[in-house]
Amino acid sequence: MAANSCPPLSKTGEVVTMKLFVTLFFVICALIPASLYGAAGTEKSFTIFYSNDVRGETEPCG
Amino acid sequence: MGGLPKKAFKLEKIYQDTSHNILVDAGALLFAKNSLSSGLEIEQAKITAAAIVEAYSKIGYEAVGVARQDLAGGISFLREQAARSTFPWISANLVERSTHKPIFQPSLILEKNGITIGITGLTGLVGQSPIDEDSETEILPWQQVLPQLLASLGKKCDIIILLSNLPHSENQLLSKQFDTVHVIIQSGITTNNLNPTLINNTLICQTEKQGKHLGQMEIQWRPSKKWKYEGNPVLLQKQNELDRLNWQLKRIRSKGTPEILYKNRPKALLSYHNLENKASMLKQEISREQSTETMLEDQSTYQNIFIPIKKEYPDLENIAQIVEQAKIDVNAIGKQRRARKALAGYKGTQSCQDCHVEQYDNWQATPHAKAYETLVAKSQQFNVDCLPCHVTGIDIDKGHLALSLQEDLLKVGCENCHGPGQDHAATPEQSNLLTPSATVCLKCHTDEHDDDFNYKRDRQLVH
Repeated sequence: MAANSCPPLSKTGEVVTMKLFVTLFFVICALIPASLYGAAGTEKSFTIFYSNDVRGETEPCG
Repeated sequence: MGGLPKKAFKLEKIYQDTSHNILVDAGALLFAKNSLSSGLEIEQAKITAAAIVEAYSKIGYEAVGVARQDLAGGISFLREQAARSTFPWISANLVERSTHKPIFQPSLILEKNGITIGITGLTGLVGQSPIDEDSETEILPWQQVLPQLLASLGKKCDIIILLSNLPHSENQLLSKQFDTVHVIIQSGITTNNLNPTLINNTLICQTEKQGKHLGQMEIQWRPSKKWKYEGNPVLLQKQNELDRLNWQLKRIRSKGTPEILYKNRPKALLSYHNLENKASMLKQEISREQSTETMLEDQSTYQNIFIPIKKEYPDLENIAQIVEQAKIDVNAIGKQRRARKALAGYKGTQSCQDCHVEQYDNWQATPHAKAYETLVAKSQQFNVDCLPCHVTGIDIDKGHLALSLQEDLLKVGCENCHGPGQDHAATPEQSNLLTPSATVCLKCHTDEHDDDFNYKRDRQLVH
């Protein structure tokens, strides 16, 4: 019967909880595009290996 | 081509993660010249070229530019090679004359580590030399093809790389006109590696001739699509000036408090204060310059190195097999064409021995006397590309004539430097022989074949 012994949420408590959820929702909504922007704004790296004129010899004919 | 198995060995070590790496060749890889002289020269050069294509496919090249030299075997030959390549040949300006439709792929888009990379290529037009075999082909000026191509690639790609066979001066012009070409990798023959040079928003670079180096450029690419200007010259100059002033001020202060030191010398005190003011103004200017620089944090950076392909590297087995087979095929086709004929005007080294005993004996101990034997040892004695420098009396571009030489001219003999000796042998008192100059030696002792050659030193070794 312990559950029944808990006092019901007060009207003020419900409002506070609701406000908390709403605040969290907006914070998350605000953070998602910011984090996406952040990802797009960071540098990305890659490496080019390049060559040219391989026809010439690094070893002579003989 | 001799260094290709070594290059493959090196690449296998460093080029593994293909999701972050890209492997390209700017072109000029199939033939050494824009045009080939004889039938046999063309046939042998094509065997070598086909082997290079096979090796490049095995190595895993992702794109290759079409340079003017790559067309020396004709368009149809390059088409055949393109059909058996695992990589695309890229040229935006090599087109069919009637339709202006590109003959090879004009561009390519690759995804690497979340970056969309556009690759395009330009074939250079060397003088007015026509492309052999196919009059239906045309090389268009870059001004005609690039604007539309870059506009299209620019919409899809984060970065654009151009494999360019144009001369350096043209690439500079092009860079000034388009800031959407971010990297130009040049092809063609150049004596030294060209470190990346920033022109407008384009880095231009090139590896030196003969494939002796491999370029490696690590790029940190940012959304601004702009390169960072390293070493602001104005800032550097001001910093140097400030260092000089600070050194002067410090020197004065080390002698004592200037106001006390120059109590009776108002001009010296005034000069000291002028120095102080100058230094203070410079500090402010430098600080202003630096703040502008930090606003440009969103700029892309790179690090470039040239990796030498050293002779002592081992060969990568499967590529070495391709190269060896090509050499065997080249030699075999040359062997079929050999014949023995006398070369007009030449007498042969043996006849020199009768009168010039000392010189002959000395010469016999030199590598010149065994020049042909070194080709035999490598089974390349019928390769017309190699022969002129290993025999007597044959011009560099007339290698096929060497296949008909008499036995006594199959060495770098006396007449190779002193000219034909038949007349002199007949009437020894009349000498029409030449005293060789450096140019005679330098025909063969080029950087390509002997990068350690020193005329003054090495001429003493001849006899």
